[in-house]
Amino acid sequence: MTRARSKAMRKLITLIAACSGLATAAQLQVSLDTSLLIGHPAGPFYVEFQFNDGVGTGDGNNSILVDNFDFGGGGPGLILSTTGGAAGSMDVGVNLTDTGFFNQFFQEFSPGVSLSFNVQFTTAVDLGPQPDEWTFAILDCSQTEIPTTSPANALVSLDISSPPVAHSYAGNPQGVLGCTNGPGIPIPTPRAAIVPEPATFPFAAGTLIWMAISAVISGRRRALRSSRRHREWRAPFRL
Amino acid sequence: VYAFQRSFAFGIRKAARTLTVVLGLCSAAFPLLAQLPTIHDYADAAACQMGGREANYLPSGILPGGARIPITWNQMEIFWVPANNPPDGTGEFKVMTPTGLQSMAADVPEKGAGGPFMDPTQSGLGNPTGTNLRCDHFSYVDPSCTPDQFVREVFQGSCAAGANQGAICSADTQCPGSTCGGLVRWHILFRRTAASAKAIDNNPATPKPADWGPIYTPYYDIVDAIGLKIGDTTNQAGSYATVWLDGVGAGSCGGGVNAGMNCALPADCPGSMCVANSAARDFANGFRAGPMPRPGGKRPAMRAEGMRATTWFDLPATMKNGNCSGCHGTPFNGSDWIAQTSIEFQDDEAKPWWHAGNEKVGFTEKAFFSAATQGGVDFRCNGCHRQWMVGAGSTPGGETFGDGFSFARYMTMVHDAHMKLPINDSKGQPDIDNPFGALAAGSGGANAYRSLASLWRTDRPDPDPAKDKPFLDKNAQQTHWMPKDHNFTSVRAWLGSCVAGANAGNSCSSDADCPGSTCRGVRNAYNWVACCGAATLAGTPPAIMVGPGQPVNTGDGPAFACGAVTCKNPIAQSQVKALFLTPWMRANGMNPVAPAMAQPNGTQFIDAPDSPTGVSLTLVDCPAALPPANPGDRCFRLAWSDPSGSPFNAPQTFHYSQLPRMAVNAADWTDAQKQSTQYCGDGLPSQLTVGATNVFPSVTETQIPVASGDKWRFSYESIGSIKKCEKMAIRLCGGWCLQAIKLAGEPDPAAPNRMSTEIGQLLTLANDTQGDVSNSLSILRSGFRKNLTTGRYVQTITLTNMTQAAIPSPLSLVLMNLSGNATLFNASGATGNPASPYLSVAAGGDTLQLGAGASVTVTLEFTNPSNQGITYTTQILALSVSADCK
Repeated sequence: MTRARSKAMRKLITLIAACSGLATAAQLQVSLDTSLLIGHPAGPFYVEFQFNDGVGTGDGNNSILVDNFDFGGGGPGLILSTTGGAAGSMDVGVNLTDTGFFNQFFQEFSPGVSLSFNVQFTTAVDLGPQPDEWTFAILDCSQTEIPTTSPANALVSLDISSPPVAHSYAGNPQGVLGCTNGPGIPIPTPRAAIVPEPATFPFAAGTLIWMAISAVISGRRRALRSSRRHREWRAPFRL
Repeated sequence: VYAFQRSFAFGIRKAARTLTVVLGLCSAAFPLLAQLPTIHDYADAAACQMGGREANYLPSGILPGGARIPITWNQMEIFWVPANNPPDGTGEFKVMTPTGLQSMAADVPEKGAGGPFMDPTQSGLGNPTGTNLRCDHFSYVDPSCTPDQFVREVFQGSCAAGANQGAICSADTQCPGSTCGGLVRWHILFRRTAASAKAIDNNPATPKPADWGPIYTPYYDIVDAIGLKIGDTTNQAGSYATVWLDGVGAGSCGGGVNAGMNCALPADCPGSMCVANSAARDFANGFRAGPMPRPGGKRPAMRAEGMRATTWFDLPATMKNGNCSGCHGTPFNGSDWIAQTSIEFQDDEAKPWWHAGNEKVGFTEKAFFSAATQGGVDFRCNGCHRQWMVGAGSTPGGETFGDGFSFARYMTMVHDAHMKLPINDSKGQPDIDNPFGALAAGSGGANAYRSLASLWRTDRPDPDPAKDKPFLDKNAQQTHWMPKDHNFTSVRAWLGSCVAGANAGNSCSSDADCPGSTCRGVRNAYNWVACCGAATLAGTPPAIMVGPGQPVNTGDGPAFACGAVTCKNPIAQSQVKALFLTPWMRANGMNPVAPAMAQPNGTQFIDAPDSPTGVSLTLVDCPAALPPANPGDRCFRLAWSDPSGSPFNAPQTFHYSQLPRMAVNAADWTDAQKQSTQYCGDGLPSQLTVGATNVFPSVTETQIPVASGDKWRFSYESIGSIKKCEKMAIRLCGGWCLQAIKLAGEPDPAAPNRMSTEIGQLLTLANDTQGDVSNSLSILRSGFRKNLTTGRYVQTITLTNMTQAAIPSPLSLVLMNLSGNATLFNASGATGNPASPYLSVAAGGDTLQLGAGASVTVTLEFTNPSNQGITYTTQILALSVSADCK
C-alpha cells in the first residue's frame, strides 16, 4: 500500500469511527411565508443558521444537513459566510457540525412568497446540562436578525435533546430592524415539524458510502495514474 | 474528495468573478452621485433618524450667564456672553470659530438689511457675496427673507496633511502643502418668531422689534443650527444635513416690582434685571422643539445612532435607500398627501417640517406606491405611517391592531370627539360610545384633544380660529387616513384627475381644472374617508374613492360634514372598545368604557405598546446615599428595562403601586390587596421619576448597549430601604395610559380609574435568609443562540416545582462556577463567596409563589466575546424565615 492510500484509509476509518455514534437521526421540515420580505427596504436578506455546541467544547457529536431549499420564486444570493463547523451553500446544501461552540452559516437570498427547507440532524444528546441547539433566523441588510418573539430573534430553534424539541417564533413588529431602524417585519410563525426517521441515518450513511466510493475511486485513479507514470518503477514489484 | 474540492474551488472562483462584475457595475453607477442636486435642495431633508422622534424633549434652554448653547458638533460652540459692566442681564451670542469667539452683533441685519445675513469673512466657496445662502434653506424659514433672522455661516474642517495636519481649518490656504478636508458647513440661524417680534409679553409698553437689539436676551427665541458635510467644495455634492432647533428662554424680571413678569429690556424691570429664563421657550406662538429633529436626540452619547448623528452624515444615496428616506425622502413629502398644501398653508413657513425632503431629492417620477421605482425600494405606507406619531392621538397609521381594528377608525373617532360637542356620530346622532368622548367632554373640553393631538406636532399660530385646521396644526381638528388596500398607484390618483373633457386624465385639484368635466380623486373625497374609514374593515375598499355619485369635495373648514357622507360599512363601537382590551380584560370579560373625565395630561407609563420587561426586585447592600438605619436593614433594588424603546416616552416618569410592608412571618397579603394594585391602582398612581440618583422613588436610566439596531432602549434602577425581617410588594405598571377607564359593572362615579392598560407585575421581596431549594425544582436548559443584534448568547431555563407544596417567589437562580469567558448580562446581582451572579425569578404572578407542579421560564443572556463554550452549575434559592424573624 502506498503512503497516500494508507493516509486515505486512515481518514476513512476515522470518519467511520466518528460517524459510528450517529445511531439515530431525524428531520425537521421548515416552511414559512416570506412574502412580506419582497421589496422590503430592509433587504437584502440573509438566511442564517447557527448550530451551537451544548457542552461547549466543540465535541462534534452532531451534524446537520440543511437542503431542499425552495425559495417560492426567489433564490439564493452570492454573499455567504461560514464560521466554525459550517460549510456548503443553499444551492448544494448546508452542513453544520458542532466542532466549535459557535458554528454559523448565512447566505443572502432573494425572498419569494415562501421559503422551505429540510433539516436532517443526528440526535446524539450532549453530556452537558444543555443540548446542542440549531437555530434559523433571517437577517436584514445590517446582517442582524429580523426581530422575532424569540429571546434571541430566532424563527425556529431545535434543541437536540431527548427527544428533540423544536420551537417556532413569529416576526415581531414591535422590534426594530437593524437595517432601517424601522419596525420589525411580522413574518408569520414558521411551520416546523420534526419527522422521526429510522435508526439509520440515511444522509450520513449516504455520505459515508459516497466518501468510501470516492476514496476508492480516487485511490484507484491515483494508483492508475501512478502506475502509468512509474510503470518501469513498479514493474519489479510484480515479479 | 479531490473532485469535490476542485468543484468547490471552482465555484468560489466563479462566485468571486461574478462578484467582481457586480462591484464593477456598482462602481460605474456611483459617479451618478455627482449629479445629485446641490446642497440647498436637500439641506432641508432633515435628519429624520437623528432624534427627530424626540417629540417632547426640549433642551434645558440656552442659559444666560455664560452658559454654552449646547451645540457641540465638530467643536463648534455658541456661547451666551453676558454683559458684565455693568451686569444687567443682557449679553450677546458669540460663535466659537476656528479663530476663537467672534461677536455676531456687528453682523446682525436689523431692519432693512434685506435678508438673512452671513458672515462676509466666512462666506467662502467662491461666493463672497453670500448669494449662495438662500433664505429658504430651511423650509420653515420665511421665504420673504424678513430681517428678523440672522444666519451665521462657518466652515470647519481639518487639514489632511502637511505642517498643519489635523488642525482646524476652513480653507485650503490654512493648510500649507495640503487641503482642508472634511469640511462641515455650519449655518447657525437666529430667529425671532412673529409673535415675539410683535411683543413678547403682550405689553403695549414693551418696545417694538425695531427697538430691540441682539444683545438682549429675548431677542432671538429660536436658534437653528444646520450642519452640512461638504464632499465637494465645488458643487457641494455629497452633502447632507442635520438640523437642530432650540429655543431661547423668554425673559423675566429677576426682582423688583415686576419680579417674575415677562420682559424684553432692562427697562421692563425697574430695580432689577431682565433675565432669560433658563427653561426652554414655550413656543406657544412659534415652533416647538418637538418633533423637530435634534441631531443625536436625547442623550446622543448613550446611543450608537446618537453618536453617529453628531459625527456623521448620510449621503443622499444612502438616505434615499434607507432609514430617513422611508418617510422623508419619498415623494410623499412633496405631495399634498403629507404636506396638505391645499388646506390652509399660506406660505412656506407654514409647512410642516417634513416637507423639507421633497421631490427635489430625486424623486421626479412622483410614483410612490409602485415598487421598484426608486432603486428597488418599495415605498409602502407602513414605513412612515407606523412610526410617525405612534402614540399620538391621531396617528395616521396604516396598520391594524391585533383584532383587525383599523387605526383609521381610531383617528376618525378622535376626530369626531373633537369636532362634535356633544359627541355625535357621523349621522349627527349622539355617539355615546365614542371612547374619545372624554377628551372633548371632560374638563379640558376640546382643548384636551388639542393638547393630545398637538403633542407631537409643529405648533403654529391660529390664523383663523373659525376654520378647521390642518391636522398637523397645533389646534388640529382634521384627521386623514390612507385607505387600506387602496388602488392608487400614483400621486395623481390621490390628487385627482379630470374624469372627462379636454383635460381628461390630467391631474387636477378642483373642478375648475377640468373644463366640461369634474375633478375626482381621493383628496376630493377624503372627508368621506375620514368619516367612514372603518369601511375597509369588511375588506372592501371604498368604492367612492374615484367613482361618480360620491360627495364632491367637501373641502376643509366649515364645509366639512360627515353628515353628508354615506358610510357603507360602519364599524361597531365595540370594535373601538376593543382597542383598550388588555388580555386580562378579555379573559375576564371586562369591557372597559370611558368615563367622562379629563384625560390625565397625556401621561403615559412606559411607552405603548411596550411593557417593562425584566422587572426584578432584589435585595442589595445599601449604597452610601442610603445607609441602613439599623443593623440588619438592607436595601431593595427595583430594576427593569424597556427593550423596545420609547421614542415618545415624553415624561420620564414611571408608575408603581406598593402594598403595606409586613413582617416576613406574617400572613401574606390578601388577594384583594394584590388585585388593588393592578393597573397601578386607582386614581393617580405613585410615580417613579428619572432623576440624578437612584434612591427610590428616583430612578436612574442607562442605555442598553446593543451591537446594532438600537433605538431607545434603556434599563432603569431604583434603590430603597427595607428593614430587617420585613417584606414588601410592589407593582410596576406598563402600557399606555390613554385615559382613565373603568371596567364594566363598576359603579360610576366611584369607579376606579384605571391608569394603565397593562396590569403590571407584582413583585415581592423579603429581608431575611434564603434557603436552597434546588432539590425541589427541576431545571431544563435550552441550547445557546448568539443574538446577532445584541451580540449576546441567549439561553432559556425552565424551572418546575417538583414538590407538592408551593415555593415562595421570587426565586434566585444562582449561576455558580460560570466559565470565565462569559458574564451573565442580565444578572440581578451577585451572591455568595465567591460571588456568583444570580437572576431573580418572579413566579406565579400575583400569587407570589410557584405552585406545586408549576413552571417558570427565564431567559439568560451572556456576554461571551471569545465565542467559547459557556458552562456553569445552578443553585436555586427561596425565602426561608430565619429564627431571628420568626
